[in-house]
Amino acid sequence: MKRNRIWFILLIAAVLLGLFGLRYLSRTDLRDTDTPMVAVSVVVDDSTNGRWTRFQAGIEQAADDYRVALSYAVTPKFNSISDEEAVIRSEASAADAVIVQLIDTSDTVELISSLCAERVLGLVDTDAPAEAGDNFASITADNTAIGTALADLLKEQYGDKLRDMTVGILYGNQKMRSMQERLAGFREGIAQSGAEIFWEGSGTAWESAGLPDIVIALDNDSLENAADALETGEEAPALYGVGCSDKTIYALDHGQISAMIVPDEFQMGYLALSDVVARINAPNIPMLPREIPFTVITRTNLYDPANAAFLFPVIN
Amino acid sequence: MSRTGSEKTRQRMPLSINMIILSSFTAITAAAILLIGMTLYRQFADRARRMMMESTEQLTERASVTLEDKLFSMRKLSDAMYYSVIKDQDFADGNVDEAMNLFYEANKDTLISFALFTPGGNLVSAAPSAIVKPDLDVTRETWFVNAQNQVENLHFSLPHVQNLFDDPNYRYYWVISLSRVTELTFNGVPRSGVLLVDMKYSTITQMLDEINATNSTGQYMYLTDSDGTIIYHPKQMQISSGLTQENNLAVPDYEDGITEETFNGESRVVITDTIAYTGWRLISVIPASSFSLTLSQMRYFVFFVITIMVLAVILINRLVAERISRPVTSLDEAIRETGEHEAISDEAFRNGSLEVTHLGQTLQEYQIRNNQLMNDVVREQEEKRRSELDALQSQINPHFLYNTLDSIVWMIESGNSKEAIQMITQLANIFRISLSKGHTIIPLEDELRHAENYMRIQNVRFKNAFTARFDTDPALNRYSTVKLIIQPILENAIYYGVKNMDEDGMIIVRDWVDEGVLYISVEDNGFGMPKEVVDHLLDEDRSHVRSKGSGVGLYNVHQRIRLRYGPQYGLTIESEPDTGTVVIIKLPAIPYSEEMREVLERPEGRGSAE
Repeated sequence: MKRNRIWFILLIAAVLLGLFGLRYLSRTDLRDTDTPMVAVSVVVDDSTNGRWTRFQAGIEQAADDYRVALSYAVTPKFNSISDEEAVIRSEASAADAVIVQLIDTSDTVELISSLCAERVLGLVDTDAPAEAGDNFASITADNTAIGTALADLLKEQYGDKLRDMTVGILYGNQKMRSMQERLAGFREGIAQSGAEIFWEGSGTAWESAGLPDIVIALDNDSLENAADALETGEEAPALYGVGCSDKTIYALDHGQISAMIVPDEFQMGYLALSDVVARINAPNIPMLPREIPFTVITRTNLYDPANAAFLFPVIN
Repeated sequence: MSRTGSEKTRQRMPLSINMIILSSFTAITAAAILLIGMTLYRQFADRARRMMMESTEQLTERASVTLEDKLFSMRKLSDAMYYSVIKDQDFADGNVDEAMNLFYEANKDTLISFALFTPGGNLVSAAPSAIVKPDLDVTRETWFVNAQNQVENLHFSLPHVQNLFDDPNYRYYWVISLSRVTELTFNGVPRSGVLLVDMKYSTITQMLDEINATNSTGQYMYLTDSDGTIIYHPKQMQISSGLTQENNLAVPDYEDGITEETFNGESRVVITDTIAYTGWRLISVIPASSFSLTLSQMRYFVFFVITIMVLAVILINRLVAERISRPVTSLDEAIRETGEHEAISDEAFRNGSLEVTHLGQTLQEYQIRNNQLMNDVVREQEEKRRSELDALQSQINPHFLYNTLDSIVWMIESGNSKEAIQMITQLANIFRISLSKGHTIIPLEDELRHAENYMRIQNVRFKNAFTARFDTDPALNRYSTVKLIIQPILENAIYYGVKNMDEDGMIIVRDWVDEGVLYISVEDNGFGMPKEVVDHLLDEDRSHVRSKGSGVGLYNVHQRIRLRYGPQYGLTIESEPDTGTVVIIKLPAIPYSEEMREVLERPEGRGSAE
């Protein structure tokens, strides 16, 4: 009896092994196809805006490399964080992870906490408040350093002349911590130069406050608008800022912008996606915040091979 | 104290021959399968590796040829533009815009633009029509400088963003520029100029992307210039952003063909080919993991097949082992099942091999001979025992004879000659039945008569101190019995039961048959015995029994019956102190006949009387 039972177990083992083998081989066949392994949704403000071109290129390149089913949500310019939250929750419901840019980081601790409790969360261009914990990947440039670099750029270009010059600051969306940091960094950097902060505002602030010698635009939209609105010429103010869209590059190329700082948003997009995929594949490995580099681009170094590589991404 | 290794070895459970054959065959076969499988897999892996390298080399060569074709087409376009259009045109009379546009329209799938410049960098003609960027100084552009420096050559640039024309739609184009110095005629006077053909960089990237997309095992192809600067790479943006790295700076040191390298800790095979006209290098990379990935499915398949084969071998070996060991196992089982005094049957080794048949036959002969010897020994032992019992039986007779003769003498002296004659007659009857012509088996009738004669003599001797009654069934008189089995019981009943009783003792003899068993009981109303005495009365060791000799006769009778008919027969004694004793003789109920007597008296007839 006992011997027969052993043989019976052996026979069952052989059958199970056979089934397992067939299933494995069939699974291997499937694995050779391009079937995506995870689904990731991306929600950013005004997603079709040209400022996201390089970010989108990076995120799509990573999606291709990591076989991710990517859903890049087409969004309008959000009026409030609640509008954005509704879109984020809708997109996140069908995804393993969600990558978001929050337009208002003043009171988002609860939102971030609840989002990352449900699924893997990646934050881009968003300095999350410390109270939100660290259970998510936050990828952004060092915005204080960007502000300081802009100030240094002015000091380098104008030197002592800066003492007699006025500066107007287009500070962008100050509900975002990143914009607050850029402004603070610029103020701190320019403080000792002797330049006068003529005004700080948004939109076309110079129309009411008057034209300064230099206009600083801390975000891409402000820079584009200023490049469009401000005339070039002897009397026109010099325009500096932070940008990354084709339009700002064109404006720089045509002298409407004197110089601008360009964060490597291709890298931001690529790393945002690769980090959430890594988190999905290894949930026990903590997510760490990342900083992306930025470069000062002027009309003269615009076509340098190193700068051209990330200003004009070649997407395979 | 610890046991030695040899002791442990001795105590190990021995394996069955079936298991030994099965495990040995399986181990050898599995080892052979594994060895063959691994050798074949290894050969297959080497072959697959060679094939992969050969096919990649061929693919690289084909890609290289295709790339050369594209570059050659550019050269032909430049030549056609120069020799067919520009050389024939005197630019003092007009320009070549129309002809240039025709060339552009015909090749706009691969071209971004044509442009012709004076040595000072002024635009002469361009297609498609476009506005040159303000403040542009083309004389500082690399393509212009290269053309001017080596006027006899055509110069392919590295991919770069075209910095030439203004596009109000904010579009910028990655191009590869082909530049050359041309001869421009103004009023019949030749002057030099620079012809620029900007090819779409995507023409090359798409071609190589398509090649890379066909490979899912991690192989890829990239393109560098002769210094190792990357022109195309499937992860070009990642490399530019520092997210990944490539060993492109080692490429200038590589000869065309296959080279093995280690980069970032990974072994790789790189296949390099040089592109004509440009000196560019096309590099195919096969990471070690790519070989592994290609073989992984095969590896699992081989593992799967080997496992299935080993399991199949186990099952087949089991059948083979069963077939080989079955005769030995059958012989072993037959030996286990063979009872005492039996021998294995021919069935146990009939279908076995020559050796097993020989072994079985030898064993069978040995068992038969052994059984015969054992039977002889038993028979001799029984004969000896019977002789002893017969001797014991005859020991009773002299004592009884002396007392009886003494009584007869007393009768004759007292003038009771009639009673003396009767007693002598009864004594003669006793002896006649005792002798019974030397037979051991007699009819019950004779045994009862013998008992009655004995009781009459004892009655006379003990002056009718007790009464004997025979309530026997005449219908049972012709059943067989062992002779002289009732008399010792009666003697016991007299001497230890009723002889010394104050009131009259009573001894009753009964017989009956029940379910094939003949029962003869001797019941007395004497003193009886305690249970502990009764329990040991028929034991061989009767040290518990009183020492006066009680029970010797009963024990002898019990043994004689058991030796004759088997252990299920013999005596049963029930006794109660001061109440009496009943001794029941249990015999097989066998009708008496001469033939049956002879059968029963044969030694081999014993124990099978029923």
